[in-house]
Amino acid sequence: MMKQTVTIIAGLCMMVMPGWLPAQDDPALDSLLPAAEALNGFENTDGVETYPGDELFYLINGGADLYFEYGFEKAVRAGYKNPEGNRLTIEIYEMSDPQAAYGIYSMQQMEDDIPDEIGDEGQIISNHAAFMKDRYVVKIHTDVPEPEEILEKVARSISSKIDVSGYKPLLILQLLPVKKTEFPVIKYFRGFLGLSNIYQLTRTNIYDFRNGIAGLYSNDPEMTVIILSYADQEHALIQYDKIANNMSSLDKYNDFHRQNTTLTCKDRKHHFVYGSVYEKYNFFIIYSGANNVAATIQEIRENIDLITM
Amino acid sequence: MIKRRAFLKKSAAAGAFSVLGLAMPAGAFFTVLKKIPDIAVAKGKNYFLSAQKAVNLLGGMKSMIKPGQKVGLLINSDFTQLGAFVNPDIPLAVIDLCNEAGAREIVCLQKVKDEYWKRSRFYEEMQEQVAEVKHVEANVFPAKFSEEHYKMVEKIAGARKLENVEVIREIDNCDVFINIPIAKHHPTTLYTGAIKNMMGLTTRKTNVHMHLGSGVKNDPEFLGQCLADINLYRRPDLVVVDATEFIISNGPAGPGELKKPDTVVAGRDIVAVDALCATYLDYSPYDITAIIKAHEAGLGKIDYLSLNIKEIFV
Repeated sequence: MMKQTVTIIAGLCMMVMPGWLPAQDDPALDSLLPAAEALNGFENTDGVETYPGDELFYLINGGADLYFEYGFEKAVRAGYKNPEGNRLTIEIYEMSDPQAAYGIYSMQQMEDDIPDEIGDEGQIISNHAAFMKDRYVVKIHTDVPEPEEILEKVARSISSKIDVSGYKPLLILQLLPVKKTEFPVIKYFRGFLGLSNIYQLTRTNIYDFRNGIAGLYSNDPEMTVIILSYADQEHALIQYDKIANNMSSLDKYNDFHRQNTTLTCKDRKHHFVYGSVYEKYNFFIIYSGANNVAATIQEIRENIDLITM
Repeated sequence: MIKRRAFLKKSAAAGAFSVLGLAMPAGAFFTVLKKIPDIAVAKGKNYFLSAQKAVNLLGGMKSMIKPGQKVGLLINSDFTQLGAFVNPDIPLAVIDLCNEAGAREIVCLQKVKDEYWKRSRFYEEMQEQVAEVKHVEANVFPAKFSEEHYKMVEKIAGARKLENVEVIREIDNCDVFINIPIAKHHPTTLYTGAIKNMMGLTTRKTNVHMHLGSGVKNDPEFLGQCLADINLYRRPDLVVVDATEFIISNGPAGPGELKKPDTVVAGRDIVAVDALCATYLDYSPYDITAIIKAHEAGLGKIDYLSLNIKEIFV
């Protein structure tokens, strides 16, 4: 947990630094594949396949929609074999921008895992490595018995070929409360699918937000904070009204109360749900009764005030 | 369509006495015990045994397969991460029961790789039976249309959205069809199980159409309707769902966070079985568009608690 917290703090520090490096010319995606010396005897046996645009559906067996919600450009896949017959596959996804890469990576990051220092953010889990850097998301899989060394070596080789570090969605990330709670697991999303994978406020897409951020606070008591960003306050108010109306009609929620720009209710798992609109943001807090939600609400509002000053 | 309010009331009532019928009126209790359940739920660490016990609770495989019949299996096997593929113990248990019932031929309607079977601790003792199982070799991801293996169905009777479906021919040759999915997370449909597993009978082109065919990317309503539509092509004679250990995030391929209820669910009502299994991922069936659409299409009951559910511990 300490390592995770330090990494997140470092990440937050990085993202609030002004003047990130501009994107450089696109490298050919297959040029990011690792050099032979990084492959520990693995040789490319399956060639290199490229999947532009909608052809992503022919690479991913389920789940391509989420990539498109963020903005997907193309992907490459390369398959390798070593003399022992073990397999290694590398997939590199080029997203439309670094924030899209950060977003899809954040959605696929496992909550309980300690991030490894690969790329801008990365993880090695069992026989699988994943990291994001600049606008690229990289996934590496192998079936070798002790996979960590080869996964790390290959990941670092690819990472070293990506010159530019990515940048995160700076402003919206700063809205998450951190003063009175632990640092959360962060999820960044750009549409209904991403939001629904965090918490399904409604079953239908009535949101029309620009982007959103969620903080998952896992320490007892659990809490999820979801913040949706709109173009302006008027739009936020219109959409808040639609969301609140829809939620009030759902059997999922009990004890629904709405007053001006706030709503409260309980979901079927007996979590409290608080919703509000403030400036150009709609935010929702899903929490257990033991949380000091008033402090969280106050901090979110202060954070919004800070970035809209 | 059953209103959720009514469903929740029934859920609460059912929760009070549990699916075993405890605290029910005595007469009703014994009636339930004698009756073959609509859904069988087997819990335990031996998944092979759980699968067989669950099927036996439904009246046994011999009640579904006549000697000499051909059986088609649709197994969600084509993933490598734990909790993303059906534990192979479960289809092996089904194959064993099919052979015992006198099946003439067992065919996997989607190619199952040898390495998949080898993940089972029952592989050695089931090796001979596995060797006898046939496969539609052409149906591997990403499946491409060929006249030999697929046919074009312009319109499935009752379908609302799905047209020009490229479906595997072999399904038409099967007397008995058994759907064997894993219950797990999916980022578009949130839950995937038996209803969505039916995409395994169609080409990738058809599957992509289900995702993009409305003209809008990321259209869960259209996808949910297409999933209901493809299920109208062929209803399963049996559904056996692996809910033993599955991913609850980062689906459908994983790796993701795992949940391990050690449960196998069997039934003939694909909607009711999925409705029950969705709750294992903490969803109400009314959260899942595909389940709602399948219920509306008359494929089964979303109000699974109105059915006779029997739970056993193996």
